Amino acid sequence: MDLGLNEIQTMLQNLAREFMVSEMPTSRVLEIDESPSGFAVEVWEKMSEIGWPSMVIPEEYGGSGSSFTDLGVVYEVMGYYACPSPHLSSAVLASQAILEAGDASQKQNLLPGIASGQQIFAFAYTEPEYAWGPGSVQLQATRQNGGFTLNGTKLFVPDANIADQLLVVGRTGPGSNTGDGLSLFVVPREASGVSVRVQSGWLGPKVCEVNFNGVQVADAEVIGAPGGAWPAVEKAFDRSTAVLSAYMAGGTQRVFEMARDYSQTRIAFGVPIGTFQRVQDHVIEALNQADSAKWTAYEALSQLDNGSPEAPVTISMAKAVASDGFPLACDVSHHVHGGIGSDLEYGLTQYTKRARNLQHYLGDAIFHKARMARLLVT
Amino acid sequence: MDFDYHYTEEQQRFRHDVRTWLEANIPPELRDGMLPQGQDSAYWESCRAFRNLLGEKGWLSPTEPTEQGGGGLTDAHEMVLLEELENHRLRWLLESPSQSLNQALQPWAGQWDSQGQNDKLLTALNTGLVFLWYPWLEQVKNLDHGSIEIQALRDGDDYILNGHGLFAGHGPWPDYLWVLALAGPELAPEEATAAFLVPGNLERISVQSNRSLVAGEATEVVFDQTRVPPHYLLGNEGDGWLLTRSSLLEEAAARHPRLREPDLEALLQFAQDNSREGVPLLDHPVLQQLLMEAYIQSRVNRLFRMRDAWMRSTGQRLEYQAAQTAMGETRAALRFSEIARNVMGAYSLLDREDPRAASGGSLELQQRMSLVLQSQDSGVEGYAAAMAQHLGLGLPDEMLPAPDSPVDAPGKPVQADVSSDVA
Repeated sequence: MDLGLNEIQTMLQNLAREFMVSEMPTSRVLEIDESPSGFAVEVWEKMSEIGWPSMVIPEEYGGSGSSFTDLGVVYEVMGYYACPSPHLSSAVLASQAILEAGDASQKQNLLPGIASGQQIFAFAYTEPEYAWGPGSVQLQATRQNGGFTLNGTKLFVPDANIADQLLVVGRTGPGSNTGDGLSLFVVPREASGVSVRVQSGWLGPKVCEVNFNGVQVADAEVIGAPGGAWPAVEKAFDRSTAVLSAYMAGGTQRVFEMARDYSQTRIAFGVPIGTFQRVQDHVIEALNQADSAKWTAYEALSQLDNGSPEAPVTISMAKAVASDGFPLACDVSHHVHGGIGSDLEYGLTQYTKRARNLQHYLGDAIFHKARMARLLVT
Repeated sequence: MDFDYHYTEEQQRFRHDVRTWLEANIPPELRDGMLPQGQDSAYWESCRAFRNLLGEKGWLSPTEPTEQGGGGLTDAHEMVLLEELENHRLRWLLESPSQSLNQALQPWAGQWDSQGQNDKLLTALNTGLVFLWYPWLEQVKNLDHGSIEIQALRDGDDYILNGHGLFAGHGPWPDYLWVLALAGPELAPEEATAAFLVPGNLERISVQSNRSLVAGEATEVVFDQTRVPPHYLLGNEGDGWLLTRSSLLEEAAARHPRLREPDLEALLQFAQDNSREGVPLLDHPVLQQLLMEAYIQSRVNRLFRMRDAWMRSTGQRLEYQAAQTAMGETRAALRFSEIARNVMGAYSLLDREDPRAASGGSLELQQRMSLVLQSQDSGVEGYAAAMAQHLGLGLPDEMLPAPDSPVDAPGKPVQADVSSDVA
């Protein structure tokens, strides 16, 4: 047993911290969140220069072949600074789905662009019947004209507004909960029949409604065998979920620290409010959630890297913990902060917003607990 | 990162030896790993005999020096022993607080050497020759005068103990009692508390009541003019609270991760094997969520124990972590009992005597034990207080009010109107 970071991971952590201190002060995160696109191209270019989009892509496809734990270390820091970027959509979700489902030619054509950051992919999966199981995909992909025609709607798709390409999961066969009949399509965002609308609300980073109205896709743009995409998609989900859990753990840690620091310096009735037992309970709750999220995320990443058969259960556990814990930590941190916590420029709300959005992304705690129960029985 | 334990060939051979030995030596009364519901003398005698056998091999205190009756083994060997005992639901034999409290006696070795007591007592504890009962404390962080109801007054060189207190410990009668007593009623209890290791065979000690929710977990002992020679005082008068508090928290920190969670396994098995209105319990959407909540909490508790063990093994200082781990386990125990009642219904309350009991009645014991845990050692409140202290949430020294000084004395921060900020 060794729960410490290795030398490379420590270097990655230090580099990520330096990067975030320089590029992602609280004011910058707010500025990016409030911009129409929610995307800072210059930050993405700098991330690409230091190789982050390439990390979990094999070297033969232009990547650096890092482990998922390595990437998790970076994501924990990104989460700590509430860093907005299309990294998860493109460099993890899309890259891993292509890596698992694509043929050699498709991988060679698509992955180097993702690894270099030159091409940004959005992953279009969820629909009006919002869910993360395979049975929820209804977007119809009909064989026509030597290819497929896509008709349907995707909702809550992160980064679709700034992506170059959309990786779309559509249905080419009858629906079922086993995943049969699902296919993966690469669709340029600017393709005829595609429309993208940034959804409005307390959402962040940006999520989009994407409509497909008679969109033509050539056979060459079908990733893998038609109808057989689910196993690859599920693997991509697992890897992305583990990494996302590390991001959420980092955010939870920051929220705890904000609560602790504020409670040590805010004076009420002549003493720091942290001396009040009720306030202490809030701070401790945030810490418990932060530590639970951190260690479940790293165990999941470790099992992913080791190829453990238990990894799917552990990954779902990590996401269930993060999905429950990150919003809860934000809630108690707001209790500690009182009015100042609602000030957008103070910074806490950036985490609260992310916690509430990421709670659902790639499956909420209810989804993952149900999945765990299924996996544990089989 | 590596979340798995890896054992050397030598350690695996040790495992084989332990397994073989346990199969041959666990007495029939202990084979189901269940504590008796009452003070079953035959059970405790059997338990004592088995503890002695473990102690003779140095396995009751595996990492203590062999010259003091320990095993002189490594942490990894201790893990092997715990895992093998866990397979028989007897892990508690190595995790009883007396095993860690006796480590707290080490600093006083010099004192006892002069009395010729040290080696004898430590060896007796390490080899399981004695049952030690320890004080039941409701609050680890602070004491008030109501927390301790035993007085210790000097009479010549000796101390005279008067009063009563709750104790936890196995067996119908203790060989020794770890006693906290107020040695100076006019002082604050933290400064006036003395700790004694009192032989159970001294005169004028009586057990008032030994019927508790779980056998041995809360026994009231009365001291009526009990004369205690001075060499049974641990350290100095006034050291007792600090010594006991650190011992109890160290006890939490010393726990190794569990290999298995028998109660959780039993509950999941029950959910797999049984249905409600035609729906298997594990497929029932609400119960499924509850079961996975229990599973997750168990895994998180294990991860916290692993973290603590890893920090210790790499020389890192545990700060809030030990109390956090203990708090998580204490909370989880009560929540688990609630989930078990929801999943199993009335079956969760059937004990080992009932032929309809699931898993030999182990979950009924968990129902009772989970309540006992809430106030054992220090309880959730005490652990929270300890965490807060480590996190720097206490009052800073410069803000501690001087005697008789007004709250708004010069130099104190100005009070703000933060009524809306204070949750």
